[in-house]
Amino acid sequence: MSKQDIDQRGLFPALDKVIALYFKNEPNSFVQAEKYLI
Amino acid sequence: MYFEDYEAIADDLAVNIIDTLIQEYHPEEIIMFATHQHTPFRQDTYYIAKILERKFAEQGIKSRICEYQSDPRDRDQAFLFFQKFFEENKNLKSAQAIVSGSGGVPAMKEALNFYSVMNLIEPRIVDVDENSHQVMESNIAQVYLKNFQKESLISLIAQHDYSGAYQLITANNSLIKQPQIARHLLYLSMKYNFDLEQANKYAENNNSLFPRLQLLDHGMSVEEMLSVKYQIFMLLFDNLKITYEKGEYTSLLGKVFALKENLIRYLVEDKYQIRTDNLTLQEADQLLARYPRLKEKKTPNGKASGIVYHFDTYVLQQMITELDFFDLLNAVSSLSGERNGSIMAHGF
Repeated sequence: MSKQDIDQRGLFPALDKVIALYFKNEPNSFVQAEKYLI
Repeated sequence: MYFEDYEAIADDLAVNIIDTLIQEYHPEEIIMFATHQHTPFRQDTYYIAKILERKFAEQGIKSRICEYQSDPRDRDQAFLFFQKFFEENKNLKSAQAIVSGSGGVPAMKEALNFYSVMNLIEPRIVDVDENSHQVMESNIAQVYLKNFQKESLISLIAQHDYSGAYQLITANNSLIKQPQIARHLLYLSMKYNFDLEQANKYAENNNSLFPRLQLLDHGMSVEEMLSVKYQIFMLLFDNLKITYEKGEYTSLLGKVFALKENLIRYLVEDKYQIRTDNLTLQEADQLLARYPRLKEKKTPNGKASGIVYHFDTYVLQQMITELDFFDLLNAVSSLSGERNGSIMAHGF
């Protein structure tokens, strides 16, 4: 399994679309926590 | 002086720097790095080290000589030499090592100091004034090491490696002064690994320093369940993106399949405001009666499949034909070939 395998299937654009349709598009909670730590 | 003359001069033999260090630190073992070049050179220190080895033995101090056979001015060779030395002497890592910065050729001293800082947990690099016998201890090595480790820590966090960052901190107690950073990293590690119950317990034990993560409970109302599932999906989406950025593609694949199955279920439950877990056959029948389209789709041959009653993923998928997330279903489905062919599934 590689990055190319994932990218070729358009997984993340499709996931972003689902988030935009049914969920809040909020900042990533892990990244927010990292900003606090760094 | 010759090696054979040792007995005659033993009582008068004084080595100012080393004697001062012995008096100050009472070492259990002395390691001497002595030049012993292939082509003998008048400033080689090997035979002096042999004399000192004998002197130390008489003082009851264990010692050993590490021979350096290259040109001591050759910086590359000096660095390689000390790199190899520390690789072969990993037991020194946690030793209370005193590294003498006095004496020696600049390239050798530089290499020794560099690898001491890199390899020893708490190196103490000292200099001795051979006239006044004063020991000067500098903590610049520790400062440098701490800065280096802090950079490593920041890099690990930026790469979302919470577990690695936490381990780095716990292995070096003095690395950071704020204990809440270690706690945050451990909490993030639990959260990233979906160890949510443990994360909540940890939060409670730390005066609710972290927000409580919502967990599913069979006794919840549909509304409560949907609210919790919503939060869990937000967590799963964040997790997927982090896993992708970390380059953990195999792990990502497993999570994507869990996402697909649960997302279908959630969207159906949200659309129809129902629960699809723990349904009795009677409840399933009632639901099917309310949504006849589902039954028609699943039983084209007129047989009521058991799958229908259990509301499995396939059935649920039929219910959401009007929901707009086919791109995701297609992306995940197209990855199923990769998954099935891998050793994570049927690749053996």
